[in-house]
Amino acid sequence: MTVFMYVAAFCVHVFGFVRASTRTEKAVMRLLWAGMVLHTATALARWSAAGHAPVTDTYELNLTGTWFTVLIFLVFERLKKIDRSIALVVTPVVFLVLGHGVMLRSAPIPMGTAYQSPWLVVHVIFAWLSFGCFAIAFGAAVLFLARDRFPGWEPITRVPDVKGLDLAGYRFIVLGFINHAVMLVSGAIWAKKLWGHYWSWDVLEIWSLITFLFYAFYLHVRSFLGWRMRRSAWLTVLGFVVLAISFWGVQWFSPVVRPGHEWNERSAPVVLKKDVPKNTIKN
Amino acid sequence: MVLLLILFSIVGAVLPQQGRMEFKDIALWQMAHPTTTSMMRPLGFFHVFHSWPFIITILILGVNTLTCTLLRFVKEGSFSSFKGPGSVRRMGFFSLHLSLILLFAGGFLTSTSRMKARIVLTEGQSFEERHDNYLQLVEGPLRSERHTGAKIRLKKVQITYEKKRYPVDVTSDLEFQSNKDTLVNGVIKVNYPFTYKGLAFTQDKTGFSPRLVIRDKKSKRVLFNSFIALQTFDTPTGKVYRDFLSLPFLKQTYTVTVFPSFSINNGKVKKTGEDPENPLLRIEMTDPIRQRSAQGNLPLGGRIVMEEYIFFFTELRRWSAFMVVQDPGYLPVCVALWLGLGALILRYVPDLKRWFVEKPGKGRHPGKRNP
Repeated sequence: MTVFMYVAAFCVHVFGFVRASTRTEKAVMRLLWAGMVLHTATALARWSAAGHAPVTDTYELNLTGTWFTVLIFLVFERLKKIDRSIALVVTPVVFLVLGHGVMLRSAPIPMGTAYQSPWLVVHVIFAWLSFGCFAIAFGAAVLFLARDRFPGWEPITRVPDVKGLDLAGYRFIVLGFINHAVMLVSGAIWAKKLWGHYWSWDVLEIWSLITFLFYAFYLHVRSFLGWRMRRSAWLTVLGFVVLAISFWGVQWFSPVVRPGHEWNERSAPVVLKKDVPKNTIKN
Repeated sequence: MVLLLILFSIVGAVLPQQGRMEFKDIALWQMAHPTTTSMMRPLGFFHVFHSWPFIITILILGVNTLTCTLLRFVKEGSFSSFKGPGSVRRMGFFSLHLSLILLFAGGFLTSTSRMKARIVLTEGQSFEERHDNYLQLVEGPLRSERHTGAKIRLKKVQITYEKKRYPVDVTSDLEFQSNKDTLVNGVIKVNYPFTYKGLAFTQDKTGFSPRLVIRDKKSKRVLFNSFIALQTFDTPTGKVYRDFLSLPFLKQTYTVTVFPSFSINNGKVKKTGEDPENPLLRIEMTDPIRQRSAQGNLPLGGRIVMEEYIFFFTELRRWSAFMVVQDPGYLPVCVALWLGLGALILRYVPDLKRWFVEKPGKGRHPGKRNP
């Protein structure tokens, strides 16, 4: 139902965008708020059924992640810090991610021992906050590129000017970058407590690092080489692809390595030969 | 340099890596991809994070960061740059790069001076903290041998299950004692390690150790009398506790499986829970030469005769594995991470502050629509 609400919001938005209607935008925002209410109810229902916060399997993670994305968008839109037209890109991202999660939905299971850490809460919340910020930056970048590519198309002239979109993208990347850093730091501390080492070069860690380094590269070239506007937009789009890989594409791009992000996957105990009384063993 | 680091990381994520995969799996992959292997192997890309191109890149990046930060620090008037407009931003910039240098230093210390190993203890068993007693010991090249010689005894392993299947709490009670020191009790839980004299003990996997007595059928002589830590396998239907009996005197292949609690339906044994309330030991024998096989189930205290041996199942205990880590690099890394985080906020707060104090509809903020 939540997915359909977001799909409906997107369809209405596209219709209104092409028809250049301002009235439909208000309807889109109402649909998004309605979707958010349903989304919250779904997350709470899952929380209640599982007996823990929905942060363990893919369905729960996608549910929580998209909830944060929509929340960030709606809050910033309410504060008039971003334009509604960015929802044209953010909404499909949300319903695709949520739909992917729904397709993989499984019965809730109790939270495993490894997940019972306060650092998990920090790690997951900031991971999804960063995802939400990067998704909105991606939305701004896509609109920027559309506006840049088709300057004469009437509907696109109604979105903010390219400078505004570029600045919005940058600001959301800064926000996302800080959240991503908190996610990495909390993950390292959690790993130290769980496995005894703060970094083990497992595939998920590597892809998170790649994402972090990529956005660090973006911020550096923007600050020091003056890569703004079109280059900056392309980097944002590419960054979102890298981010999507780190969240969902690890298995596709790293088919030969197990993520090993599980406490239970470790270890292979051996027979305690030291206990064997040697004098009793004879061939 | 950052792009190179990204490239190496992608290589490390995509190619099979030593230390994370079995050698035979890497060899199989290499046989299936001969062209890629011939290009990647000389560069050490199957162990990329320890390869010379990666280490050189990290070194250059570290020197580069240090040089650029110092040059900029001098250029902007050293400590006087922390005064006046933009001082917060500059302080953030310098602290951020300082934290990066500290992070590199901590990472270097970890990779060269860390000790990482495993120990597996059955309840009641002791372990002397010495180099030779560890399993899977990995030590950095610059680590000096410093072992406490402490005696570590596992007293009890407690596991709480939800719905009789999912472990929700794993606790190990240990005792530590050095030669002259008093006895120290340590409780280790998943996510809550215990540190003793700089050694951090973290909870690893657990399983069952049945005590097995094997006698010769003819002479009745005891051939074996000890606990055997069985491997724990996670399967879709739950955990399976099973292992081969790798004892040199056995003439056939024996596999041992423990059912912590069981019920029998139509002659078929079914595991009913993970707590050892009503344990059963299954012994399976295969003799590939004579093409024979046999199977026997032993409740606790039971005995069974198979081929030329008599098996007794006398006791069932749990075993617990621990990761033992001593990492002098963790402290600088931890300081670097927190410093870096603070610095990142300092560096970008002015930018974000400007965004939030801007009024909607004015300036270049994207809330403004084109007329």
